[in-house]
Amino acid sequence: MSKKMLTFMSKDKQQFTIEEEFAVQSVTIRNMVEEDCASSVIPLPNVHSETLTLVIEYLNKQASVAENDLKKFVDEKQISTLLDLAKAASYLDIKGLMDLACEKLADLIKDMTVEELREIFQIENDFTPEEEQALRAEFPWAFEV
Amino acid sequence: MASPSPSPSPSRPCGVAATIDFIGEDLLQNIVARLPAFSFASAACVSRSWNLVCDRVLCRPKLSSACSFNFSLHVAVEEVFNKALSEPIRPHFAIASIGPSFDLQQAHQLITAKLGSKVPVITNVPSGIIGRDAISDEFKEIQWEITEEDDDPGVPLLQPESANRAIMLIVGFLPGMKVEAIPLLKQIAFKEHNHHGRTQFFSSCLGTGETQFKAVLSTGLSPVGPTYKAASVREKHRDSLTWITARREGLRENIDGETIMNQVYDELGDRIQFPTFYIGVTKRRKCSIGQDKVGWMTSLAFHEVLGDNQEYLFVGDVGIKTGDSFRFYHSDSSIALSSNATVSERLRCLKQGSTTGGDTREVFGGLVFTCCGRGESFFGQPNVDSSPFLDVFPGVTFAGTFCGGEIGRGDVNPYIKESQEQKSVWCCLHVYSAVYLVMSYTSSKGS
Repeated sequence: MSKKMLTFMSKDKQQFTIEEEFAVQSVTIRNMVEEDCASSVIPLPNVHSETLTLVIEYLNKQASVAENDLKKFVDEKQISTLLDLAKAASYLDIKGLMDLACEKLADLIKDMTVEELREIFQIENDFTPEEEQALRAEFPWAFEV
Repeated sequence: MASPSPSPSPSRPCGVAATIDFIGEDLLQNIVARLPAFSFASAACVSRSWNLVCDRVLCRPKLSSACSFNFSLHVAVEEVFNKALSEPIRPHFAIASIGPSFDLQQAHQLITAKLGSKVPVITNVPSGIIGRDAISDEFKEIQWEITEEDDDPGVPLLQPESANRAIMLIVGFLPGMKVEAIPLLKQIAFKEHNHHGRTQFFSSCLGTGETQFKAVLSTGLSPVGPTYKAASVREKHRDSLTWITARREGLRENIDGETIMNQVYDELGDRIQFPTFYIGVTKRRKCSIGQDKVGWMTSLAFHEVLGDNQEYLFVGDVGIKTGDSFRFYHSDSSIALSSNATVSERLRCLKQGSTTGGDTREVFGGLVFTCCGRGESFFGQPNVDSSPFLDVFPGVTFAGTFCGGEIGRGDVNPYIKESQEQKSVWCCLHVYSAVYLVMSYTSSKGS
């Protein structure tokens, strides 16, 4: 008795299979299945194979593993990996994975200074020095102490 | 099969400022909404787009609160701060209520050190605290265990038990409002170590919504006996006492203290064990505010009955004049319970409140100030005064203190029933009451 399998193709043209039963935790995929567009290979041009591997790992684990153990899934992952994972989860509409990734990301960045945040996320500071001064003065309790 | 390392979208050349596109606004919002307050403040300074995302996360007023019962003041302060500031919030004010076994000055210093010089902070020592435990998440109403030494009345003994080592922190964020703390200090006969603060606010409308505060009162007093008129009045300012004789309204005969009390006990019968008596005095006085003459105002003030003898009735405080009429009131837990039920109804009405324009009103926080005579020993069960709010608004921040005298100006005067005078007699300082402050936010249509 074979279970229904789905096939995804990553941005870099790698193919992955997964049981439909697990895949439909993604609302995006579930909608496709219901509208009957999921019979052949499903292209995911926004998701790289490295990330897709992790997404599939999550979807497979989610059914069998307890919530506390599932949290360990995001342990020891780098920020860039987690960001890619969160973006993929957002695109595929997998709430559980998105919450997990965002929670971990928040945890990793919560002790960072403004400068460190800019570096990690490659953000350029578009405030004038006066504006930035005024902003920090607004929350003296965060910077003064 | 080559697997290239993850990199940002190839259409974006390196070195050019990456904006939200790299992450996406929704995703960034999802992340920063989980940050504790200090980190959230840093995130808001990263760039203009991050600042906008943070403003979206923190666009509504917020109240946050936590209690700690740790033996060490330093640890307790850390615990309440970590919990109360564990989510995005920008403190516009803080209220810290501490137990008598902690040092008030030290607590105040620790808290102002954490928040910086610009945030108004009120630190006080009430008769007890009401709030959610930072560690266990359990909701508690705790009154201090005070025993008084005979030779030093009013000074609490330092108890080693945990109940008197506690701190409750309330932090509020009120966008569009300015908050200040104004000290009101009153000299009372016994040693008073409270700082009573009053927050004054005026709002500058941002056009995105309106924050409202509503006071709801639950009374714990029941009237008994006839109406009297104060006849002979002698004020003892140094001890803050008044000695009075009185006449029954409509009669001419002056009655002494002991006779009055006998009449009251006769009326009360065996209904209540060990009642605390107050007199509610109706005072009609000429009032002025500053230089402006306001005119005549009628108010109801409560004075605790302290004793009687064959001449006088002794009551607390001064300010009574010959001719003032008064009635006796006694503390009554069944009245308090039914008054609480009325409060629950009014809270439910507030909850359903969608204003006519289709705007939705959301209650974001509540405070309660309840008389130290109430609490578990008064009702026979715990958390009675907290139930109306907790039941109607589960999950909404709620905290409070036990007090000796509650200030509250609600819409309805519960002491004078169904009379034309009801609306024109103000009563602002209550006893045996619970005053609830409900904070709500109405967002305007389309925001």
